[in-house]
Amino acid sequence: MNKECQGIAANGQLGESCNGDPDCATGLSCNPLGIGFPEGYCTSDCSASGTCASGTCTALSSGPKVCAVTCAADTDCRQGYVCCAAEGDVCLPAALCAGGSCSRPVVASAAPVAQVVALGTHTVGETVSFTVPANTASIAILQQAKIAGLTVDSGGVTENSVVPLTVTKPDGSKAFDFAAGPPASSADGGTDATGIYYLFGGGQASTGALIMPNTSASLAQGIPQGTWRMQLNDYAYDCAQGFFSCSDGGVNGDTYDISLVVRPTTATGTNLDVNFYIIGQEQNSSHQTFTAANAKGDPAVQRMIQTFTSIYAGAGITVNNVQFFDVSAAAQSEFGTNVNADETAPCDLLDQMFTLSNASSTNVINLFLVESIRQCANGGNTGGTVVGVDGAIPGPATLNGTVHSGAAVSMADLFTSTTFCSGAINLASCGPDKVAYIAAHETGHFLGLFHTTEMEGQDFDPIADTDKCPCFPCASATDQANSCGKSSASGQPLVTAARCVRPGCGGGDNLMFWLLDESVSKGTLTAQQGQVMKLNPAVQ
Amino acid sequence: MLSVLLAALLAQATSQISDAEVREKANAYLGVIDRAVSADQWRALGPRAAEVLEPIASDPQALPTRRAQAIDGLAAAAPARAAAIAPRLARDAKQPLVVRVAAVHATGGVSANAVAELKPVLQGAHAGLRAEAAEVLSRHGGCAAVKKQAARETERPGAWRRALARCQ
Repeated sequence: MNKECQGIAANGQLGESCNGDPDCATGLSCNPLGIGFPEGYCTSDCSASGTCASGTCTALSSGPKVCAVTCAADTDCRQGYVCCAAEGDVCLPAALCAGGSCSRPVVASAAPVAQVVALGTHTVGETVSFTVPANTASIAILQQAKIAGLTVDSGGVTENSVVPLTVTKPDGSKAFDFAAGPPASSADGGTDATGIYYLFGGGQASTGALIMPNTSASLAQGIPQGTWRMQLNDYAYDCAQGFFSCSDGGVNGDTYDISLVVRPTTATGTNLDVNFYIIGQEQNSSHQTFTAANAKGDPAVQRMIQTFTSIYAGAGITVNNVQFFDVSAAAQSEFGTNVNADETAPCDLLDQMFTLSNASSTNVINLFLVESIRQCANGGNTGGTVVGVDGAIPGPATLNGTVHSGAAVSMADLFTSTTFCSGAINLASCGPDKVAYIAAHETGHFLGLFHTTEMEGQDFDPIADTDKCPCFPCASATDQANSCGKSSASGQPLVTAARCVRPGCGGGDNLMFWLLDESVSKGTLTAQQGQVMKLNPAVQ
Repeated sequence: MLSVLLAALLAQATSQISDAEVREKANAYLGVIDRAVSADQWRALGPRAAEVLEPIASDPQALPTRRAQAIDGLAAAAPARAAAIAPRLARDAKQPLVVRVAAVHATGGVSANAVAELKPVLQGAHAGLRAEAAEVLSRHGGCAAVKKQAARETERPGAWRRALARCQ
């Protein structure tokens, strides 16, 4: 880049894609992917003049100043680029948006060094091979965006999730095939997901994890030794390859840092450490502001930890070390009251809050205690209160500080009704017990567990020893007649916990049932649920 | 035409639900964990759900998140009943914050006079609640009040940004 900023008149105008300088208009040169610009970026060096005939002269963190397209929102920018407020509202690759309000850190694994395999930076479409040694108990494939767009426009903005097209085992069979899609919903429980090797938990933009085993089949088959292969992919690449229709053309050049955590059978453990981040200004049991300094001395917090610990003890997991962290006043203001569970893109409040977990570099589960979480269900205006939300299923275990490195839990009940907190768990009247239950549920998601049965009784977890509660025959007679297995126009069926505590209709008492029923929920975990969690690298 | 047909089907389905089933479903919805119950789901229970929801919403001994979820449900299933209690709860500084947040949103949805009802909240002591009120008022004819208050705010967390974007 040694050309002056000047008028632009032809194809390859400022900000457009390019493979080389000839693709850009006179006076512009091509900043290629090799220096961090997906699909290239026609620009010009304005280091000397400080001005641009078009766009804004922008100082990159790497040194030079370049002319960049002016924007007001991400949607003004090309696929793979964000509107960078920190650099003066210009379209830049997210990774070059230094100091921006949206942080998408790439971090190192906190797992023991001997278990971490760094596979380097790869571009979507590449096949990445890795060797799994004998006697491996579990593998975690961790993918972190180096340069990747935030969204894909497929007739509606979709998060640009990272998910391999395939993961192939040494014998050539598929451990995971994205094209196969999720198991079909089944109102009578006829679809059995327990036989598939890996159940994908849904889109994870920017930072994604696949942790195996997470089904009964993979628990039984184990992690075979030999050379595995993974085809790196994100939704923008899907779009560029024509795997699904989109209006923005997609991107072939997004890059991700890939690493593995390979747990040998000799290193599986049962200890879980938890970091709680205090996001908000609740008054504690002594009517003081709840802080990390007074947390462990507070009887309500002690009760919460005790209950959380006892739930996990039921799965053979020991909650070992619990720490509390304060956050800045600015972070409290930003995230404490106004987190929206609907908005889960990397730059939204929820995901940005999770990046605060970089306060610790140890291998932990990060739980964010907030004052209120809302969800605008189905885009409605009134929305609703949510008591917990996971960052991803599974979460990116051993990574602190990424956009999915935790789960959020409402602490609104923590310091209320504490007079009912002696003796056995009391979800009806003891606030700390309810917070502990929600925290345990979200931790289960982070460690790879799905709901045993979803609300409608039509989708189930891939674990064989959890009881299921299908709409037929478990829902009410009215729901079975009118709505089970039918479109929502017939009303939405639901299976309540109380209907799921008998042979053939079970799981209502399980920690991972879709709802908390104060008279039915017991926080039960099965042996295989315990196995999945204990094989997660966050459990040491 | 399709929406009319769907509404008729839904109304028919609702009328077939017994009182006991309305209670059962309302109580189940109060136990959801990772998601909110949609307004359509609450509405499908009809005004009879208020018999379950209103006592919980008003009970100071009930757990705050349960009260908040009851307010959400009341606003959708029985808006007239919600209008009678939500504005008061929204403005009551002695109520738990999560209850007030739910009440602010409910007031926006059910009150014909939301701007006046929520103005004290918009100017209140809790920054996060002010932001929630701003977001609600930005959808219910309160942009003038939102902009005026925004000028006084030293920090504008996410909800403020959404509100102001809507008011531009």
